[in-house]
Amino acid sequence: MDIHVSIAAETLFSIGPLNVTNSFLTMVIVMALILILGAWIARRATLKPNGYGQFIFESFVDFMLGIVENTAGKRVGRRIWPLIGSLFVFIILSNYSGLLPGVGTIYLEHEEAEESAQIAYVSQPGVQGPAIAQEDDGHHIVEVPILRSPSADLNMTLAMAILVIFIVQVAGIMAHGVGGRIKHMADPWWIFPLELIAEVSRIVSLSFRLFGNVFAGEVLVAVMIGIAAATWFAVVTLAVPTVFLFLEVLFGFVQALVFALLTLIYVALAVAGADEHGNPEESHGH
Amino acid sequence: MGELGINVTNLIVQLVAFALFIYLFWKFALGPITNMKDQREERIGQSLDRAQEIERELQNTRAQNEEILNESRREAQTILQSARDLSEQNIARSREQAQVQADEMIEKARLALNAEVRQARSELRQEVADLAVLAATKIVRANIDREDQSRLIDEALAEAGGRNGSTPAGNA
Repeated sequence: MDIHVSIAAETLFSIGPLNVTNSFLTMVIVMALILILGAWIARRATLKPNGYGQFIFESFVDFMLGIVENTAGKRVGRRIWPLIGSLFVFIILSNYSGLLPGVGTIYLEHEEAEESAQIAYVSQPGVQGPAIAQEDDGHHIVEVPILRSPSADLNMTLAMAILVIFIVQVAGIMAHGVGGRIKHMADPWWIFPLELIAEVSRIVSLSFRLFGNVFAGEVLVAVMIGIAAATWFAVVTLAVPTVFLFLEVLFGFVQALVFALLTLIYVALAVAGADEHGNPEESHGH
Repeated sequence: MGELGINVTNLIVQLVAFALFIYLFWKFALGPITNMKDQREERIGQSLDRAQEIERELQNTRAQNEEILNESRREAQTILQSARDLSEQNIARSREQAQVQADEMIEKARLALNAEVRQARSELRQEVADLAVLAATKIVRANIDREDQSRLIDEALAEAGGRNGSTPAGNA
């Protein structure tokens, strides 16, 4: 069995300058599923809960909104809640999408000009995996997985991190004004460059943390499945990947929570002290 | 960057897609559920407030009922006491009236008895006189003069009166 590991998401096809990668496709599917399911539950929801869907959705809202309001205060928490709630739902389902059967294991033939970055191949004779065939004109045909977790694509995590830091800056400016925000970051003045670096590094830390954890988890599970398959030992074949799948379920939740909570903390820090500048409501503990 | 798979076009598209996702998710799913949860909390809060208000009203009503009950008990006690007093007064009055009536009846009976006694005495006296006359007549027939007759009559009357002098009719 060959295990094909690529840091970059594999391109399935291109639309102009846009490369539709397997993670992009999964992102669209996950977003569509979340929106359809969420809208369906919200449409059927009643004041007296009437089903497991509403119960689960409301349990999530209770859990996350409680954390958000307790951390950022009720007013700021309510304003940032759409971002935090959406981030958490999308990231956790993206992480879990990588654990579904078929994601990463159903392949599509694709012609590539040059070999993509590959980390490892674990080969076992007689087991068919993604094949690479060298063509005469330098191109080669590769079999790429059709689906891949969006969180295992740096484009996705980077996009989310950039959006988050942009919103953090907007929140800070809305709370303090442009001058106030700069003053907030430059107190004392010589710390301003460090603050700028810190803001940029937040993008890197947020995106690479999520990407690294999810990608490493998927590689780990793939390797465990490969090792288990290579041993031809039935119990190990079943038990070892199952243990790591359970771990990935835990890590998927933790990483989603970490991303959402860090976003929340960044926003809370950016708007901190705004109470003294004209938000008497918040200062009274509302 | 290429090794890591970062593609600026993809990055921008995914950023826009995620922003759009946040908007749509909030508008159609998260927002309505959050609003519903808020409404439920508000409704529960109102219900709890209402329940507390009802509890207070209930306690007030209980206190009022207790007060009314006590007042009723006091009024009943007063009415009962009044009835008892009235009853006793009626009994006393009736007894008094009965006594008066009894006295009147006794008095009437006594007067009637006296009248009867007087009449009986008169009749007796008449009978005695008749007997005396009869006796006198018999005596006259036995040849006595007029003076003797009168004397004898008087003596007879005196004797008759002396025999009946111990009775009250003798004084009439």
